[in-house]
Amino acid sequence: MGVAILFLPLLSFFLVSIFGKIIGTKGSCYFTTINMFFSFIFSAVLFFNNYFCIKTYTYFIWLDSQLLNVTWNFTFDSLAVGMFLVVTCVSFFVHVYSIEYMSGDPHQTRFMSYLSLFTFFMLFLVSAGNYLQLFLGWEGVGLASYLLINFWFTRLQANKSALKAVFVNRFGDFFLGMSLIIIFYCFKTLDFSIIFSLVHHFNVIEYNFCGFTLNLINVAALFLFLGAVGKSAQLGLHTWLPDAMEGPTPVSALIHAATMVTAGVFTLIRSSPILEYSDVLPIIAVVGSFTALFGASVAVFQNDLKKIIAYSTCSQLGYMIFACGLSQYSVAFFHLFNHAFFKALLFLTAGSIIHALSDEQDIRKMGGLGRLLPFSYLMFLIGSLALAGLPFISGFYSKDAILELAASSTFSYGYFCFVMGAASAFLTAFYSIRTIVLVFYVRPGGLKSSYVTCHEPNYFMTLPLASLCLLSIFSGFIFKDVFIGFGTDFWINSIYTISLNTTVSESEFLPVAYKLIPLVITFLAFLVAFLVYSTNLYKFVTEKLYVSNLQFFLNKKWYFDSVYNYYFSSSFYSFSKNLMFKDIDRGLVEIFGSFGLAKFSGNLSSFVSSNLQSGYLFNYIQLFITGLLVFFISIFFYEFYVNFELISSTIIFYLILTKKNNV
Amino acid sequence: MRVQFLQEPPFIFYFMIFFETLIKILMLFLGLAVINARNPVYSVLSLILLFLLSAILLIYLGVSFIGMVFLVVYIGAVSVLFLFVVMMLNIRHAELTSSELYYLPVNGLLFLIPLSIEFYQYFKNYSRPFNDPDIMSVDYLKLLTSLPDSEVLGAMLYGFEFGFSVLLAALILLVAMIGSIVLTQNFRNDVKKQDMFSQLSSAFTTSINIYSIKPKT
Amino acid sequence: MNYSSYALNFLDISSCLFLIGISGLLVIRKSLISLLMSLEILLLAVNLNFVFFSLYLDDAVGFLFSLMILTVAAAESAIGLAILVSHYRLTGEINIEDIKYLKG
Repeated sequence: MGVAILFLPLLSFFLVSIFGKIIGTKGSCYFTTINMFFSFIFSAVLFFNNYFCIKTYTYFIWLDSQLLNVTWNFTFDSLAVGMFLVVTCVSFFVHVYSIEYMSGDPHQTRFMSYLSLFTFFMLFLVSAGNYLQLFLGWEGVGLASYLLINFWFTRLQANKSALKAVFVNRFGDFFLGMSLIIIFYCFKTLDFSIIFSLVHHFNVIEYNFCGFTLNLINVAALFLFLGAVGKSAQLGLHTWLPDAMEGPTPVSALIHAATMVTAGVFTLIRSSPILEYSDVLPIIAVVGSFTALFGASVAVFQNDLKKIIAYSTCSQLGYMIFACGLSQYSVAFFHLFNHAFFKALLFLTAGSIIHALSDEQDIRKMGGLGRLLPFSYLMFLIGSLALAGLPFISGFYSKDAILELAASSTFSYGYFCFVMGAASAFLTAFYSIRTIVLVFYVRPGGLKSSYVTCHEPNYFMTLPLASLCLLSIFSGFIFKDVFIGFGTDFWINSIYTISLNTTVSESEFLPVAYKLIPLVITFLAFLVAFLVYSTNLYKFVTEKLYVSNLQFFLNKKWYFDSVYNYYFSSSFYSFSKNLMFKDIDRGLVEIFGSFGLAKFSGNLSSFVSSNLQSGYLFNYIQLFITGLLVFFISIFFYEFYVNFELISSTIIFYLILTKKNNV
Repeated sequence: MRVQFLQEPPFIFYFMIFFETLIKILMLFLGLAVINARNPVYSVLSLILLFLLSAILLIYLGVSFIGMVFLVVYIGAVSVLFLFVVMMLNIRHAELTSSELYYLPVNGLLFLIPLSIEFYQYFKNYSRPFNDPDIMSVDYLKLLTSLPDSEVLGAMLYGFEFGFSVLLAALILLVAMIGSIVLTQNFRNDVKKQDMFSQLSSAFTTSINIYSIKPKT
Repeated sequence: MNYSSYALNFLDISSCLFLIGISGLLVIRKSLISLLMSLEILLLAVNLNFVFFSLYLDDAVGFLFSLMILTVAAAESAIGLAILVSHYRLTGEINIEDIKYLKG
């Protein structure tokens, strides 16, 4: 059944992409959706089945070359089935949603097939039993994200964004590949079960690299984390995530809320034994907390609805990452779980708003939609409250758990993470309310024609929203004890924490003030944002000079994009074009490779044949006699050594002499 | 060239040396004359003389059959062919062209290297019949048990040993004959010829067609 | 009386004639006929070589092979002259500089 979960989406991808014209648009939609529904059911069943046991399936051999022995094995342990549940649930809802959302698009068949392909690769990544399969899923997810962002490929911005996503992800993929190599070098295998049982013994291996003695586990963990930085859009390699909003909204909901960007977090959680025995956890925590603050701060002054939600995803990913950095993998996973639901809800609601206003994405041109689109307003409100961490909604359980653990952590960087997390909680609440106010409360700022024709979507779009809404309210409470309950036996073997890093019970005895701080600042942010944006106060504030500088800084994403463009893009481009392509690919490789060899042998043979075969009888006579005499002379010299240079020099001597063709 | 005598040889041996040296020198000069003669007829004449001298040499050495065959075949057939061609074609006198001078180093090298090797080998071992000490006795056993060369050749040619080679040689000659005839066939268009086969195979039924023509009115 | 090794004295003219023949191939002074004649000299030299060695080795096979070479020489000179004649009929002259039909 586990493998059926994996291969149903793949089957639907193949059938729909090949036979899409025959099945028709509606047929392909329903086919993929039904397949995804079955995947979802199976994964729910698997989730309950695998509560007590881990299943690992090993199939046939993939690579078998002396030391490297990789088989196709899928492991359905607790982490995997948890992720299955998330991925298939969100994917199913997105499929249902996009039946209606993309119904006017002539390429809807292709869209549905790509969604199924993406789901397959994500499930493949999640259920991987060795690092090579994980890498395969990783790359496949990157491919599918390129295809989906570039869905409307005639649009230039979509092309650029997709390429940007691919390039920036490539950095991460390179680092992940390097970590694969180092893991293989260290452990001589890529199998999870073997590696994770042996990490403890390999902690002391030193490796000499350019004069530095490195601990290989550290290096492997660092590269794993850098791969996660690329995929999960942490600070430094985050630039692709906002631009990936060029794709259709269901794509954003599926990829950039729930699944692809959580692949990096998943990898870190999966490699928890390696991370635990390394020294990179502080780095992870610090980078994650910076990302959390960055994402939230940039989202405050964005004007595009989807970009706000994208930056909020970036910020929440930072939360997850720094929870991993504090060795609290189960809490990170729980936040991933909840975040998937409410972020998907937010994205899909944004999609329905955009759809209702005939593709208007700028929130300055929206407003007053509270009365016109009450259902969307309700969904967006619930999603935002879940995001902001209102008590007892799902976001509260995971987010506040993270903040408590950060505050009570015994590490020096724990407190730093708490402060950054609290600041970003403030900003999260701030921009959530800002968005709601600007979209639903304020005076309308758009065209009258779009307001006249705005309507609520039909059942295909509203039912997923409703289900996600229910899930995002209740999933926190329902699954709290399963994932982060004290003494839960859900994570049997999937997550490993060394005893030094186990800090579960310290957070229970935290001073109440620390527990209340996130709550208080959330409400404060609600108030401030409401006041600022629903009255004319913001005009007064933003016209001051320093606030507008801050606005620009935050709106331009801390000038990351400009800096990258200015310093790196042109040099990379000229490097790759001039050095790599012109000098090496078209130069070195062609000269010393097969093309140059063919050309050289052609030239040589034409030189030889045009000079040897002049057509003149006299030259041929000379050749005969030369050959004859070489034979005789070699017989005469039979007791001496006749070497190759002698013969070849005579031939070349003759060739050069007969260059002139007249007798 | 040093000649060593263990005993005083009979007078005929000096004649033999003189004869042999004369023949050698003459052949050498004739060979050069073939190539460098001014007239093509002179070069053919030198060729004929060369063949004659080699026939004489062979008879001198005792193989009379092969010598006579040389006479008949080489002089009687091949040289006659050359003479015919020289007389038929209009061959011009050619001067020494510049391209020959250009190729002279290479050709000289190609000629001189084997020549020097040849002389080196020649001067390494030089044997004479006079080095044999027992020169006055007659080897009757050898005389009785040896056959004349023509009988030996006949036994080999028409026996089992090399009979096949004779057939091949005959085939080669056949091909040469047919080839030379075919190559030099001259199809002249301005001469009336008769095609006997079509003349003999013409019949009443194939050569006359009867038409009935009605006049137009 | 052992005359067998006397034949070895004549090997020098055999080889000199061979070399003269080769030089005749390389140095074509006048026309193509001299080429064919130097070929004949070559074949004669080889023939004589065979005869001398067969006399030295007291084996009759040498004579036989010399007869074969004679056959081949005659046949080859006939065909060579036939080609020459047809070349002369094609072009009006036999000049070795203009023969480049083997090109291509």
